[in-house]
Amino acid sequence: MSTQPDNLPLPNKGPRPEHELEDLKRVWATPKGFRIVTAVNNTVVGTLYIGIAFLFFVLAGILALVMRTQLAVGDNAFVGQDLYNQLFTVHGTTMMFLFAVPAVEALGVMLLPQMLAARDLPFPRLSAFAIWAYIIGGLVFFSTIFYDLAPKGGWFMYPPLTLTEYSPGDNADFWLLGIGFIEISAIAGAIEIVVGVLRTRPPGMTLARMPIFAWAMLIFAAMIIFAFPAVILATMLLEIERAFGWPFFTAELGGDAVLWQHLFWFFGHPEVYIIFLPAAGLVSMMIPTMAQTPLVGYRLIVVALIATGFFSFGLWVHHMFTTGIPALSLTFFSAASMAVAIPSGIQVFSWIATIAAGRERLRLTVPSLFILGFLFIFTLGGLTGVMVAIVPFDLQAHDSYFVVAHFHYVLVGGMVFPLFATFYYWAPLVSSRMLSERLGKWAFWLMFIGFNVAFFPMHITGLAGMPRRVWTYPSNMGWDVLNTISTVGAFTIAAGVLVFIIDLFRNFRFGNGPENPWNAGTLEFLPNDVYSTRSIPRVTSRDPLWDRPSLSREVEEGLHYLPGAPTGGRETIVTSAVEAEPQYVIQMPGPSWTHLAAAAFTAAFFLLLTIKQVTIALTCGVLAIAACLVWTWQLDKPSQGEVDIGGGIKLPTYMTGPLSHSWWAMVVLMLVAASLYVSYFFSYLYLWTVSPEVWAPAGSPAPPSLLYPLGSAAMFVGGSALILWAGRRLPEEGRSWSATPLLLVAAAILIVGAIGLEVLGHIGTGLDPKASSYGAMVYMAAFLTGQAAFATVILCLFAVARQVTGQLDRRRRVTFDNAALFFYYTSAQGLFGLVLIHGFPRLIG
Amino acid sequence: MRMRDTSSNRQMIGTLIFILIGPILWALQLTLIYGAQSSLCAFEVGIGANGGNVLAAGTVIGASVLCMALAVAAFVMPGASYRLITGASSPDDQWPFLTSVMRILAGLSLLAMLYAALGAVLLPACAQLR
Ligand code: HEM
Repeated sequence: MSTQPDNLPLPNKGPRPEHELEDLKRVWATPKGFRIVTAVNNTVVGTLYIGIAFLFFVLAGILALVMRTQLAVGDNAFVGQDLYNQLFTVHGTTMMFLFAVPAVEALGVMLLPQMLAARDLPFPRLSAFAIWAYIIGGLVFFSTIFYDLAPKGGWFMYPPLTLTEYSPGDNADFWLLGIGFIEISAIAGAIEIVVGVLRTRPPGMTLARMPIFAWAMLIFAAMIIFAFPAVILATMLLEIERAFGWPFFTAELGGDAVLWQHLFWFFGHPEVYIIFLPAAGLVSMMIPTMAQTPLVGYRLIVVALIATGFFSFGLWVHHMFTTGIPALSLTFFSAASMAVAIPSGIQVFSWIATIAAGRERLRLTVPSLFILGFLFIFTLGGLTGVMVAIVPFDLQAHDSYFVVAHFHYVLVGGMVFPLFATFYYWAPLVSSRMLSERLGKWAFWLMFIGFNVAFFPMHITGLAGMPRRVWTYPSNMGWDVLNTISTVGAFTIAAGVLVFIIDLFRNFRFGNGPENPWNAGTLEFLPNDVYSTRSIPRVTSRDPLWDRPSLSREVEEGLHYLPGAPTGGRETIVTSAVEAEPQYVIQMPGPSWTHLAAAAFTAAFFLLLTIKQVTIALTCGVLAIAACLVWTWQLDKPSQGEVDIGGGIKLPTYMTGPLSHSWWAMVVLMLVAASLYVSYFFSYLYLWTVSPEVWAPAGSPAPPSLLYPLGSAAMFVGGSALILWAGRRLPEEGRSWSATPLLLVAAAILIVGAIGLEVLGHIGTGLDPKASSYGAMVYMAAFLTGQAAFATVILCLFAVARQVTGQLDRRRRVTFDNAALFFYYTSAQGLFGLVLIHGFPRLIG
Repeated sequence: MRMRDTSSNRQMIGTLIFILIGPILWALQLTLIYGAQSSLCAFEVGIGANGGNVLAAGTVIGASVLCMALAVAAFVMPGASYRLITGASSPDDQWPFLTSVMRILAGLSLLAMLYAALGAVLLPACAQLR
């Protein structure tokens, strides 16, 4: 299936004119000196991203060593209880949110364009923004451990422990605002990855020929889009409760702490697969190379990735088996927990089959070793996973060291080992020298042995009754020896990581490494430079480098598509999502300070809010928006006419409407917003089932007269109608005057009015958001739609400014289309909210 | 005939949905059965002796049968399902890949749906575990 004879003539004829290569080099040049921070190219920001993620791994690892030192013997007093609480919270949070997810997202940003032979991902500044936001936010969050300001509620921050009564001070707020903010940056990256994988593949790379890593990242990003909004909503609710006293989680007022658990785990369980799937994708790329044979069961692996992605959403309640939910509900989630094991099993068998089918014996390089280590450790973690998925067993093992052992087996086995394999395997893409095989083997064996020595005994300490998250334990429990062994293991892992760092210092040098050192079959090992590949190959099989040995030379000589920079700026080919037929050439932005400023001010906004510096925070918020506006002002470049990419294909250089990448990104963004709202809808119904006694009309003031929601609805609908009309009145090309700006402003006023009226109505009935969870939920609906409306208004005013300055017309209309799409979305959400808030109490009343 | 998704978004997005029919039905089933069962139990509608609840168990089984029947239909008639979703005729270029991925996913989802539905047959709908 993978090989097809390709006897078509090459798209372009050689030799190519010399200026083409010079143009490419100039257009894609990396900024020099301190300006390097303005770079947006995936190889630069991707490497930075991975570097910082690795730094967080080391930092959180050091915290783990401190914890292990404390636990080495019973009755130890090396660190106190309060600090220990901060240590495990910051270790867990950093590992999950600042290391694991960013590290795999970073690999996506760095490797995907090379694997897809695209010049860059479609929104380079967006990914650079996400990365800087993460760096600044992450470093500040981590530093709280030095000032006794770190959160102490564990990485999942359960209320009521994290409510103000039990967690006074700003510590918990650092978690809520800091992590909430970093999730937003992860979502930005996910949007980039979805659109990149679906629309910037090289011509001919159909879905059936996509590299497995691209499949894995597509599913990874889709999962982020549906999972992260749930925890963003949760952090918003908890932060609002802490700051303003709206009782979402306080039982006396109709809230429920278990709501947090639902929202957190609806995100948290997919999260572990969000971490694992890309790592599995990487393994599926490396094993065929090491065995020098195509992947066995490509289709099955695609199926496995998709099935895991889906089923992982049906597992969240399995973290809540002990919360007193009816038995039958538990079986639904227990069933899904069993089902999810099947696809993981499929992958493991496919890998083993590939190794067995190899043309030669598996080459035991450092990447292979780390992969074998991964298979061993991850499989054990999977087995204990099936054990804790059995409800009666979980009732015993819950919150014990057995669970600590289980999830470290899955996380370290499933993610850290593949990551180290990746470092060794793909280093030549960004480093002129390979990493050392000898040091690598040392690193592997130290880490592998250390890991098992550290974590295997924890299964036993757990079954012997040692609870997790205890800062010390009495010496007479018989746990001492096992704990000492664990500590020795932990330091052995650290030694392995240290050897790796030494290897990095000795051998990692920025630059282009040896060409295809492992004899791999996939496109990232084509000759590369800052502009990615010299020309964009036509792909006819899954392992193009194996099936067409002349491909590297042809690509390097510019004989495939788009061998130059015909628009004079950065660009790449956009292809259709299924067939990968060329559709148009996208013009992309280059280096800039704007996204950097936006990231810094957004981070400052959130962090200053945390320490209640509201005025400065708001100033930073305004500056962040201003920076975003300047940034987007430079986008949406006008059409440069048609360009010839070779093979007789002439492509437009501007695209609007449903085929354009910006339309796709907007739709993905709307999915994010909708997931957030669905989580809200669930929360509303959930709190009602828990505390119907506080619900209107019996337990709270009845909703206002129907005239209020009808008025709001009329404004939402009217605003949308104005937008529709405004779209028809866009000026002819080259003119800047029409009725559109006035219509846009009127629509913006209507959408603000709609939300204002809704809030006024409830204030009129005397409903108080602090009095009950019902009141809090009612105002929350308006708050959420208000947020979306705020963004809509900015988009509308931006479109007005574009038109007034002559940059928006009937053809060049992306700015308008984006505003219009989001306007329709916000109105639809608003209408849904009105039906829920005004209809539901009437229905039950 | 080659598939042309260059000019139609419906075909691009529709093809992705086509692949995902099985898992989407599985998600629907889980939402329906978990939603129905937990609200019926929370409000003690239809509760009988020993935490049994004929209404809840019936809803669970009914919803499961419906979703599973749809998955079976897609499994048996991939061409018709494709046309229904994308509004285009089934392509031959990637067709073997698309159908087999869709079918295996539908099969796995059927298994997962069966697992979940079995609980309703075996356990009283609203009883607590402890
Ligand atoms: C490789 C060396 C590692 C060591 C020695 C280590 C050690 C520890 C220790 C001692 C705890 C505290 C247990 C307790 O008191 O209950 C812990 C908790 C945790 N670790 Fe690790 N860990 C390592 C790597 C990782 C990695 C790579 C991840 C994630 C990707 C991770 C995620 C977590 C989480 C989520 C917790 C739970 C925190 C909480 O209870 O809130 N760890 N680890």
